[in-house]
Amino acid sequence: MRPGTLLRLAVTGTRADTTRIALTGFGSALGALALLCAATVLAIRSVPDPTEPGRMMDAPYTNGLLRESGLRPGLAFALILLTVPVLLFVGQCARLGAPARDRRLAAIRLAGATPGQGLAMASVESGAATLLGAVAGLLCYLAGRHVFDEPNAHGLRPLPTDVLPAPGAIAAIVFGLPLIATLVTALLLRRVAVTPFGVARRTRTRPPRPLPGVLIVLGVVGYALIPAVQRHDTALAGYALPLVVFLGGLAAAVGVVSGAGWISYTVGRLLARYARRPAALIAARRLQADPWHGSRALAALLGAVLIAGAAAWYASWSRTDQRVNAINDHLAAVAFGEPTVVDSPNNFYLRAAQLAGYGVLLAGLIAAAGLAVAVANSVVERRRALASLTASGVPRGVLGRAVLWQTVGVAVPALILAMATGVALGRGVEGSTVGDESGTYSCTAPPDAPQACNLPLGQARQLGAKVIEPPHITEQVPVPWGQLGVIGGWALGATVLTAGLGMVFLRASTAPEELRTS
Amino acid sequence: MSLSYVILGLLCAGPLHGYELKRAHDQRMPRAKPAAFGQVYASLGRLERDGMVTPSGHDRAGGPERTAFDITEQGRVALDAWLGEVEPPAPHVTSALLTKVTVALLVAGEQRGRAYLIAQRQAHASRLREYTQLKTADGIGFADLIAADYAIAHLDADLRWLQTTLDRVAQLHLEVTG
Amino acid sequence: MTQLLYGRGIVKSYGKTPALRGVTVQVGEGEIVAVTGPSGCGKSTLLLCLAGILRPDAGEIGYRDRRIDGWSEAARARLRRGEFGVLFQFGQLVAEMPAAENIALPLLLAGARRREARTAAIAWLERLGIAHLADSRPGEMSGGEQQRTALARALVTEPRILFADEPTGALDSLAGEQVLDQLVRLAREQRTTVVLVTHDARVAGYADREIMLRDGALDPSGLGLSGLGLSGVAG
Repeated sequence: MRPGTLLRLAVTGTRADTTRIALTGFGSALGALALLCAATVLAIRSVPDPTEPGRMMDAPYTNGLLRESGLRPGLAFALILLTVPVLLFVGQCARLGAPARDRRLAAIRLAGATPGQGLAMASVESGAATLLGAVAGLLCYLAGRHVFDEPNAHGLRPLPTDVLPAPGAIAAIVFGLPLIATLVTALLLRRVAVTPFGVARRTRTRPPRPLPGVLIVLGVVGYALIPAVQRHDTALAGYALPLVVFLGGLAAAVGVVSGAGWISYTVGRLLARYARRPAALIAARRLQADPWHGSRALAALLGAVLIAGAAAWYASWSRTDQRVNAINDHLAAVAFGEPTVVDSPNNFYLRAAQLAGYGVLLAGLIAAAGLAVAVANSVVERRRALASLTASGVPRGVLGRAVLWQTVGVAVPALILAMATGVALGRGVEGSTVGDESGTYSCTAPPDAPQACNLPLGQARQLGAKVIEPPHITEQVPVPWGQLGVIGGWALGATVLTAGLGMVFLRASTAPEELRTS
Repeated sequence: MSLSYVILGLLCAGPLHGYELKRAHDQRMPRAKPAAFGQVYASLGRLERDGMVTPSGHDRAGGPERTAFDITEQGRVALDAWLGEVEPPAPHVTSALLTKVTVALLVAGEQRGRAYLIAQRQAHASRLREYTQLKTADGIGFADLIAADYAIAHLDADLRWLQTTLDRVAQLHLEVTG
Repeated sequence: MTQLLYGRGIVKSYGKTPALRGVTVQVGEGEIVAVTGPSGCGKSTLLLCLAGILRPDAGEIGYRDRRIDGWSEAARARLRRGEFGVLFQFGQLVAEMPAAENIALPLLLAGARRREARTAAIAWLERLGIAHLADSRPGEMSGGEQQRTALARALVTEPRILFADEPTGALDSLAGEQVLDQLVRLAREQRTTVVLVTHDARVAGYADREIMLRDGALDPSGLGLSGLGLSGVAG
């Protein structure tokens, strides 16, 4: 098969296929953009300060996060994390119009294509769409560099528009994304492309088990170990910490997303037992029949909410920490008889947390778009049955409520689980009390025992040293219920909104035209 | 002559005399034309002459003498050979229906031909409906069922041909007049 | 035979494509009427119009002396739910629900309790000889079993009229015959009127009367047929 033929066969299809290609490209453009930004941040080089040896000069940017070399890796890491919901979105798009594509692939197989050729076609479609998207992302990035390049009077720029990642890094991003997309598609469609008889009958799959709970626990325990590792072995911490952060976070996220499958099945079973009205019963059976649908649809949203939960805890912690530290500093100053220094409130970390909040919001928007795709798709896939139900007099309201039950039934418990996991992760790292380790004291050794202050305080006192231990307060970090409520509210709102979108598709899908046989 | 083979087949179950054979025939072949006595006796005579059947006893219980016949070994061989033979698909298209339609269209003109075709279609459809009712009736026997299936399949084929012919006539009319 | 349903001068187009160009039909109570014709003749559209699923562009549709073509969608949906049953070629069952619940669905919609609805559904499954499939999902059944389940769902509310559009079109001839046998037997038992759309003369053979369509209008060559009467088999 010639490459031209392959490409043409790969991109022919219905409107659903076109939409899928466009959305895949869009997601890939966003992903490429985020990764290019991360690479740019990492490409900023610090120059040694000529006036003060051993000190690095600040990079010439107005934004503190970019200026200080110690903060840039964190920013890059956050940008890379942002691509996770983006990639989950691309994955969800791959499901759009999947049955039609499966049938098309099967037809091509029947026409004599080998399994390899069928697989190549499906994979090349994803690859081509992702490549187009990545190139578009690169163009946006280059255009953005030009547009936002506005140094102020001091020559400081708002964004690092004066540095460019290494050409190798750019190439790796623009070609790496499509490569990964192609491989993942090939992996996912392996079974479809092999049989020429299209999608096999849907049979009952094994109900999901609550095993993903173990993953969540693993992630939370891993994060809880971080402070201990940091305290005891700094050399180990340098290598192990990023790994623990990455793997622990990933384990928890995967646990929540796959746990949604179990939640869906369980909610479905309970609903099927107690449902009185047809809408709830229909929803219950759908939740049971395809428990992974909710999990797939909510994947990106759950990922975003998990990060948001952790960020909310971090913000709450840093607010409390700052207040308690200020009070303790004041108490110490009074005890030591020094003038009280009123620090200008340092909002830096709060701002960073806020920035993280915006990132999460963006991730959430992308996630909601992914959810909309999934809900619309599930309605369109069922249109024949829906149209016949309407024909037999089932009100559209019942079908709409079924869609709503089906979406909200999984979303509410799964979102709560994701937020709780996020909070648990944050709490593992930062702890739930602040101020308990402020061991500031002053020790004046008596002349006869000049070494007294090197001993533990109790012994030092016995030797006659003058020890002043200022009083200090400890405080529990409050659970940020308000903020969590806002996050949960937004996420649930997005879910209900997309379910509403599903109902718009429902109206079109229940048109009697769907019933015509010829 | 298939009646001879039907008689051989019926005799396989045990000896029967002529009257019993006629009754068995009509019972087993529910949708076929009833067998005439004369034909049954003539066939039996031929079969006896050819050594396919043999008289197995006389029975004169309160009536005229009746001879029961039994199948011979030779008869069984002949029956077996007949059953193993594939019926040749008809070499010539011979059908009263086709002949009449052809003549009607040739001689009586298109209008008459169409009228005949429509009337014929109605007759076929109502016969098809009768057979369908027979099939859906309670307690129908297996022989009746497959006979009805056979009749329905043929009526359906005829109906499709009638419809196609009607369409063709309409097309021809368009070509000639339009 | 009293008239139960009629359509007068029904016109319906899809965009610029005319599907029905003024069709007038009458269906009597307890009658089984076949609507036949080649594909694209408008027979499915006629069924959808008569059942109040599609609204005709022009013409009248009446059911028991009430004109229903002007009714709102909600009112027509209520009528369909209460008095009409529909049976299509395939794909009408809720794929995720077991057979018993699919059948129970119309009863639940009418406000029945779960337990009652299920009992009624199981009774229907038994009548159709597929009681062992009560907890099977449509994907786990054969085409014939699915259509029998769909038939049960269409009849469970004991409708006055059953609208069936090529109900056996996706089945092999023996499975199709079983479905049709049951359809006709149950319809006669319940005195349900049936409007049966088909292109197959053998399926039409199950009806008391045949309405032939051609290019969106009554086939003039088939008109005599409906007058043939056919010996009052109905009811």
